[in-house]
Amino acid sequence: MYDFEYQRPASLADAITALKSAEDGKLLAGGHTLIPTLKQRLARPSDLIDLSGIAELRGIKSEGGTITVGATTSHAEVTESDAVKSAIPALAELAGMIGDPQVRHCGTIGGSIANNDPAADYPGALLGLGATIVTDSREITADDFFLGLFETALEETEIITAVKFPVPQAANYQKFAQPASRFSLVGAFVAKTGGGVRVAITGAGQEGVFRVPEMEAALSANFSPDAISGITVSDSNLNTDIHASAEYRAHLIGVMVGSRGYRLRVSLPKGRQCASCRQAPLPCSGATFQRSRVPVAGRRVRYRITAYPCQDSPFSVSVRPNAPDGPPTPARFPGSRPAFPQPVPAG
Amino acid sequence: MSEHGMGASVRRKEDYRFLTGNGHYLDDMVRPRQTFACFVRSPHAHAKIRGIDTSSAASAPGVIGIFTGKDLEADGVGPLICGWGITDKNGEPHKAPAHPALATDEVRHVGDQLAVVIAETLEQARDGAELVSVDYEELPAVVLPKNAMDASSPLVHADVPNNLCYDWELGDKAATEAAFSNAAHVTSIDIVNNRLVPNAIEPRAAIGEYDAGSENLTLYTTSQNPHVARLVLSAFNGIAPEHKLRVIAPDVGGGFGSKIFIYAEETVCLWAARKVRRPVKWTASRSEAFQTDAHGRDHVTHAELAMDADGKFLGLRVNTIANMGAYLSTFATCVPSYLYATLLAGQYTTPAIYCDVQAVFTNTTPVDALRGAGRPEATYVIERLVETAAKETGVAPSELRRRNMVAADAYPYQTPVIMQYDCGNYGASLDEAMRIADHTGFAARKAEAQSRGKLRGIGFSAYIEACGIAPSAAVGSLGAGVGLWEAGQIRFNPTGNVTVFTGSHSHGQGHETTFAQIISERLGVPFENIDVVHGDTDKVMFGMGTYGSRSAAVGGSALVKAADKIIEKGRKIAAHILEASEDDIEFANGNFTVAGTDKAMNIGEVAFAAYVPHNYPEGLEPGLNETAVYDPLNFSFPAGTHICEVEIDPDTGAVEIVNYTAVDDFGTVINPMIVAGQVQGGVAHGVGQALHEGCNYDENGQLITGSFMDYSMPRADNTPSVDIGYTSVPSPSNPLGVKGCGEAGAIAAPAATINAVVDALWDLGVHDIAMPATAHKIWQSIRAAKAAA
Ligand SMILES: Cc1cc2nc3c(=O)[nH]c(=O)nc-3n(C[C@H](O)[C@H](O)[C@H](O)COP(=O)(O)OP(=O)(O)OC[C@H]3O[C@@H](n4cnc5c(N)ncnc54)[C@H](O)[C@@H]3O)c2cc1C
Repeated sequence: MYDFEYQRPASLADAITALKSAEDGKLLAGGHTLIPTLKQRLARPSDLIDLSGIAELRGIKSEGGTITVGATTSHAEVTESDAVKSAIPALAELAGMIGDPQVRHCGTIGGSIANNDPAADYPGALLGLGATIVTDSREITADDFFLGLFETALEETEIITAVKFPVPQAANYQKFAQPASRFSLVGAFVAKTGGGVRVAITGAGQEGVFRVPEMEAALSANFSPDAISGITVSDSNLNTDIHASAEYRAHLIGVMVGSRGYRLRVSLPKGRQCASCRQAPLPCSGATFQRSRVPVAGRRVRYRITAYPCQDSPFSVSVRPNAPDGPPTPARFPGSRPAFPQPVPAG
Repeated sequence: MSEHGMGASVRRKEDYRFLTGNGHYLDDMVRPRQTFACFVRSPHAHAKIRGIDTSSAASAPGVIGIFTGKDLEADGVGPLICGWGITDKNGEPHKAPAHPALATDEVRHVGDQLAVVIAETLEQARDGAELVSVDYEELPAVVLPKNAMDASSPLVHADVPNNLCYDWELGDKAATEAAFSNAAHVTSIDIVNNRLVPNAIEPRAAIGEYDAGSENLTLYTTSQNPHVARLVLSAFNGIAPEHKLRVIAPDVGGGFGSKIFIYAEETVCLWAARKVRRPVKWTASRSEAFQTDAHGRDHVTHAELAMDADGKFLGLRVNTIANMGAYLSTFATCVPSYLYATLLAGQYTTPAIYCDVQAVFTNTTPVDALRGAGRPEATYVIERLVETAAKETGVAPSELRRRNMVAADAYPYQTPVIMQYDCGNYGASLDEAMRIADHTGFAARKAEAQSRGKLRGIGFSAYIEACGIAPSAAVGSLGAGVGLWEAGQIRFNPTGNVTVFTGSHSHGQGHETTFAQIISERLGVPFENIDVVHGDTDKVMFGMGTYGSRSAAVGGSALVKAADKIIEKGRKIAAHILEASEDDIEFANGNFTVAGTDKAMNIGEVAFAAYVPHNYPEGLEPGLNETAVYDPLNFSFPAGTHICEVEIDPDTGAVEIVNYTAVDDFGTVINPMIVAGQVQGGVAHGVGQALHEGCNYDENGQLITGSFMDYSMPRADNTPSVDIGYTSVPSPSNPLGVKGCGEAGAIAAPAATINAVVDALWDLGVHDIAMPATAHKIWQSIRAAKAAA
């Protein structure tokens, strides 16, 4: 990291002044894109202007059919927001699919869209829902905002203050994750609004997020997965990289848009018993459970429930199958060594 | 069972300090007046160094010293070595091109280091390194092992024709040819064992330190084998005589083999500490780790299996091209030869085996041992072949294996490829794995999956490995430059607690717990009164370190021998004090008792008497410390069967592992919880190789998968919760009966997983799929098969 001046203004007005007077100032929000860039010495700003001290940029409001999310609101706040969950559950779910808990508690919506990574998730939601980006000086529609790879309509010294989402009648986000980074390889945001259906695809396009008019028309006429079954998306403007060919991305767009939404599947091991208290079947009385999302599962999001049996068994692997011969007896040494577990005589 | 003895799932002693942030990792260490090193690295895969201009870097703020390969040469610092000599088909030694710690004439892979800048702060060292200007003349690069020997390929080293390090063979070629000419069926496969990046959670790091008064040098480093590092740095790199050099490997956050080797950076930091007369510290960034930690695997193999009409294996023929990368890493040569071809018999009685291996240089990061080292590659060859043969002949995969397995009463069993298996019961593990995996219910599960539009497959991997590395005479005869015994020492303190010293090294394995369990059981000393010390050449006597699942089998056995000596000496002391004959003293549960009486002394009291020898046997040395060295009688041969069951979404190609069963024979199990952790971790590693991980270079030798954004590590939700079972035949080759468990998962899982994926896709016409079998690749295979049908 090269040296820079650090500033933490308390108001939007001060932030604007700081940004305009800096030689080569950069806004710092969650830092989850910017800081790694600085650490790798790929950027050399003169000043970092930290937005985290500006209360007016943070928070979620719901009024008159619009959800307004402040620019420095974290992904975690959006996921957990009751206002978002009840009005646009697909948006809450999308925010919950970004990165991991650390990323979600640092990363912000403003930082994500200002950066406009072609594989980021939020651009899909903004374009899919027809959101409006509010800056310190104007309002920009999502259709006008995202211009290409890492490119937006923002001026050099413009600051995003909030994003306004109109509440749709129905919406769904399906993400097929890039296996290494887990950004979207193909993310499809489908929203049914008063003005028709919008379909936005992120992750796949050479120019970043884009809409699919043929699918929108078909779904506006018939809001059912069958409506798009005959539509193939051309792969000519899609990305090819080590993780996916353009062809595969084009195919996945159909699969993701055609998804019928979420299912929650609970898969508890059947007929198995806790290795500690040998109570069959699981769950034993002392068991604890952990729910984890399995995000790369294609058409559906699956949850894996891992049972942690009672006491002393920190590993879910100790969920062992029924052993007819009772608990294994650990080895004694020295002596006749009835080894742990049941020995099989050699020869 | 005692609460803390053998067989108890004792919680790991070391975890409290790790989990509470109180571990002592290298980057946490701050030495007085320490400086920071930053290496100047090649951005090119292959280039001539026309000149290195350090002048503007030299005057940059905070820069203390800049050194290049010329400075190392001038000081007589020897090049990095490869410690295992291979004799090729023609009786010639393998080609060992020079490997200077800092490149002088040419750079040969992206990340190859050619200068070091030492400065007051890390940022100043980086600034300085950016100012070093290198005049490169780019040269063409060779990247893929299969192209390396082409006449048209550029030479990585001008003095190595055809980029061929060695062309080596093992087995009886004529007998194997004969077996093939009698075969009723021959199955052949072409497979690639994908290149992996080790990715230990803690990157490599080093601090070199020089004490001007004593002229002693100390190297703090992330090593799996500090004594071997000291030996090599002294004897080969000539940095300091062994007695003037101390190597300390504190808490080390994982290695998977990558921290066995003696690398350039550690060597340079140590040497430079004397030059600048201050401690020199370096910690690899994750990007440096991707570029410079020795990678693993990277084999291209053609293999054929000959069978008779009853499905009996008659012969196995294997040709492998193994990528060595740009230089030979410390043990690179033995991995695709003696750690690979010697295991090609697998669990089977194949009477004739012939394998030849061409080890080649390419303009990529050096390749060396990685978890399993050679044995995962061997298992993958055999188990993919057997599975394919079963499919082709219509014999059930389990049945074909069973027909060919070494029988439980056939031990010791001499394979046609050097190894003599000492014990085992392979059929038992197969049966148990099929029982746990509910193999009989598979057909119903497959049908049910089909009703949901999913493709289900099941795959076996019946693996064997050679662990407990290794009998010194045996490895010496095969070219090793070292013996592979292990040392252990038990020191009683006067107050009766115990400090145990081992030459093996724990970097995640839990030795502080398992070794304390062994001693607690053996000597009857409470577990909490035992501390295990490792990783410091000034504290521990010479030892060989940890790799090849050897620590319990070899290091643990040394401690058992030392404990036996403690008991013998204690018996003398107790007999004297209890006024009995030595023969009448019995030892059990920590007490020396006069047989048939209630006269007894606890071992703690004996220790006190040994240090305060007022009433003491004449002629016996005071003190209670014993040292032992154990050189194993044979390798140990862990073996077992893993069964993987997958479900594939044909729409996306996404694979889900729905069941994973591992039944292993590890011999005696010391701590079931730790062993289960090793199995789970090993399977994660193997599943990672099968479905996720793959190190890619582009055609110019640029590393495409140079960060976690593109190199796909398996994550918790990719990792199956393994159903673990054991069958146990204690090893006769060491006094504990242990076999080793650290690598089994990584060895067995790739074949089990790919066999399951191929099984799911077989009926669609997909008969092989390359690792990593990503969703993308599976989808493409399905499409290609449909188009061909
Ligand atoms: C491990 C990891 C995994 C991730 N996974 C995902 C994922 O799955 N999906 C996904 O979408 N993203 C992912 N991200 C990116 C994450 O969401 C980032 O946090 C986000 O893209 C950037 O937001 P930030 O608040 O951290 O912005 P910063 O890094 O602080 O800033 C990013 C850029 O935006 C500018 N900026 C910030 N705020 C404003 C503003 N209010 N007005 C104008 N410009 C502004 C900054 O100057 C900078 O140029 C991941 C990141 C990491 C580190």
